[in-house]
Amino acid sequence: MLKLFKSLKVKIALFFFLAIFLFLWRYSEFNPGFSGKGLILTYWLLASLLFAIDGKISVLIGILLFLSSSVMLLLKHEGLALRVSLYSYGFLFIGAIIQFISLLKEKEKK
Amino acid sequence: MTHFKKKIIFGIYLFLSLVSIRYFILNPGTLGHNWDWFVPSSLIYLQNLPSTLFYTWRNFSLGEPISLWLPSAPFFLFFTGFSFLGFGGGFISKLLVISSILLSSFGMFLLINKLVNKQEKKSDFPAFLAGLFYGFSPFLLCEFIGGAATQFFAYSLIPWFFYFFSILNEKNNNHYRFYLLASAVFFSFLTISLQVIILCSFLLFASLVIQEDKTKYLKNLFFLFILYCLLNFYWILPTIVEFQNIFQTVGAGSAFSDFTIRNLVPSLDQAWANIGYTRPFYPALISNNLYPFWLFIVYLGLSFIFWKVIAGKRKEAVFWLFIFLFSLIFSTGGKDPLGNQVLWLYEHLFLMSFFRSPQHFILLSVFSMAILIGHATVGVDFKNYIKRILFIAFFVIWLYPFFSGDFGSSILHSKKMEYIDSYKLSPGYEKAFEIIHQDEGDHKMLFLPLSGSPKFLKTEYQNENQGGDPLIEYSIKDTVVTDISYASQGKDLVLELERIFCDKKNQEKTSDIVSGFNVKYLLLRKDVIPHFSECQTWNWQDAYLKLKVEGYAEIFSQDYVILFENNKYLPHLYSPQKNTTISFTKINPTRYEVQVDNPADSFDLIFLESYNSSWKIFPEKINDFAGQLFSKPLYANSHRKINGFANGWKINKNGSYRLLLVYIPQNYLYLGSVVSALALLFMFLLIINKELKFAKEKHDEYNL
Repeated sequence: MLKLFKSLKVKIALFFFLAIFLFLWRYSEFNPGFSGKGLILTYWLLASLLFAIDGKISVLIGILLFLSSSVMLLLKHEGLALRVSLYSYGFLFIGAIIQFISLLKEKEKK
Repeated sequence: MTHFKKKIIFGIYLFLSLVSIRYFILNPGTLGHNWDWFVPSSLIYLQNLPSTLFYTWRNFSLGEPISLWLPSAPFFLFFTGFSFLGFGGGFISKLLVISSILLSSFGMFLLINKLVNKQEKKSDFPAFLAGLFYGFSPFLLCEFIGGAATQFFAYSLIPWFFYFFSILNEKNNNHYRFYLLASAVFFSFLTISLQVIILCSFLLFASLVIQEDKTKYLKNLFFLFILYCLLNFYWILPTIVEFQNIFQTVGAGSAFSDFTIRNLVPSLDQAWANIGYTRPFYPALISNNLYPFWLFIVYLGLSFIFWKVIAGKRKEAVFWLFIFLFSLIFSTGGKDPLGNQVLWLYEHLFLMSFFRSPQHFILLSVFSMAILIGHATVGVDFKNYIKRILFIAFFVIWLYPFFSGDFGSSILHSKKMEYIDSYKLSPGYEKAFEIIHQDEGDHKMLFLPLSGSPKFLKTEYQNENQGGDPLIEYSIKDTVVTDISYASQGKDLVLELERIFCDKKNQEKTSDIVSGFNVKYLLLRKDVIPHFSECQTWNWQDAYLKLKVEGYAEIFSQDYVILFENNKYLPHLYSPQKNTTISFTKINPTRYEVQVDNPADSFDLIFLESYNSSWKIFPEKINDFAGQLFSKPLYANSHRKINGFANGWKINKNGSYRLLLVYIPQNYLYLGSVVSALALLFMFLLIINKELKFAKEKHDEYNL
């Protein structure tokens, strides 16, 4: 059973299944306040967990978005800057969690 | 690290703290007149304060239970202690600020040296930078402007607590008992701010995940909390006993405001750079044109810190990054990233009621950021001077508003924002307080207007400003106000009194309420007007006329004050029945000795202090606190609220006799103090025993 979940095809299928489910839920009448930004960041979290994407990549994306938001502030696009800043927050948060868990696991293995 | 190096670093921080407050140092006034600043200027006030600290009942606003404020007593005792050496509010308020900066920066320096030392020790520079950030952080600047001394002083003690606790958790600790006591003592000091103690407790438990030896860490935590409880038993016990009464009194003002959570919080872009507060003071200190460039540079530096932390692969560092990101959720309150969820927590989680102003959560961001700075810069080769200069330049840019010399007061004043003033008390006030202080009788006084947080008008002694008035908060005689008091008893009467004084056309007499409150002195002030009040048309001349018409005796007038005397005031303790003579001695705010002579068969004893069921009457012979705790009080069934706020008892006993009127939680404070003192003594004995053994072992080793 576990081996089945390690197969790339199954992972891709699972990802798409969950992605569609979340998408439908997000745009259904049962949505408790799950925003579009939340949806995208949840997709990224799912992908990171399923495909074991290194936390550093999330952090790197977060930092790039973070810097972009400051550039947008420099260009006086406050609304867009806040939007990008929120994405950067999400990516940094996901990256920090994944990195932290992997470091804890590494320590346990040692 | 050598002691010499430590002294140099301390010297640098001291120099920088003096630079940051240079304009105030050159000005002889007391810092205050803004928000929660409550440092009294007058020596009479400062010297009176220690005598009011260690009681569970406070003679303020007709009296209120205050055991939740007892943990702050050592803090107030220390700072007001300087007044007995002749130092006034000017010195003490500035000392408070300088010591907070120094304790914050040097404490963080020691902590980072300790945390980083465990991994790879290369240079003291990372610890210096972390100390620089924490001691001169934008948040601390805003806390100074806000003026809640217990908050910013608690902030400065946090690194010291974690420093001692991290040593406690080290392997082969030969001075375990000493560090356990030091950790518990500093943890106790943090209780001067409930928010700080809650956040630090959270950090302590969260840190468990990064501990190598979790069992040992949990054991240390257990001992820490046990010792903390024993050392603080002096206020914990009366608080538990009086829990219901305290929360009834304080609870009235503790509901959270949706407006505050949504609006008086930093935006995410401010929170990233640690520059947010309830109002954007820090961004206001940076010129509008410069601000986006400044923010860009700070974001660049932060990006470096985030990347270095992640790339460094140290779980401790990533843990603190996680704490930093987590704290942003709460410090931004009802705004993004998770504003709605935070509001939901405020509505449903009792713990959140301690954080009515979400700015308290910024503390977590700043503390974790300082540790991140330490971790991120530990791998940098600081032997290269260009790198040193680059890092210093970055921190200079980030923190430069801190060094404006007056905490940005002139800029904030020009932008019509709140700012700290440096004020002096006029000679008229000093003289009036001298007259009131010399009168040792037991009575109250009334400040007119009845505002504890008034608007100060511009005079030669103060600027136009708004904030807490220490003359009211620490009034040498009990007083009543309409705004800053939590007490709900008699509130209607106080508001009624304000309405009469405020409304020129209102012909009602004030003397019934004033005398019924046991008020002997009325101090009419010309240099303040009400702010948080329904009275928007205050005019001191109208109030003056009213006082004159009603026949209050004007006994003193100078510059901005006029002192009146009310000769018809009711005594603090009396009986309305004729012939029944009541005389009494006030031992302290929680204890009165009452002499009853020629009593009627049945008479009422009235005590003009807020009604509280914990006021009890005992016969004279039961005068020890233990006896009172285990004895049945007299006339308890007849104890009731009277005159709208006061305590009344129906007494049926003939002949002359003495009674004791006691506020019972004070006896629990005495009992708790015995436990706390014994715990401290026991710990001292354990430490001395251990240290002597250790010294002997060393001596034996040396001889061998």
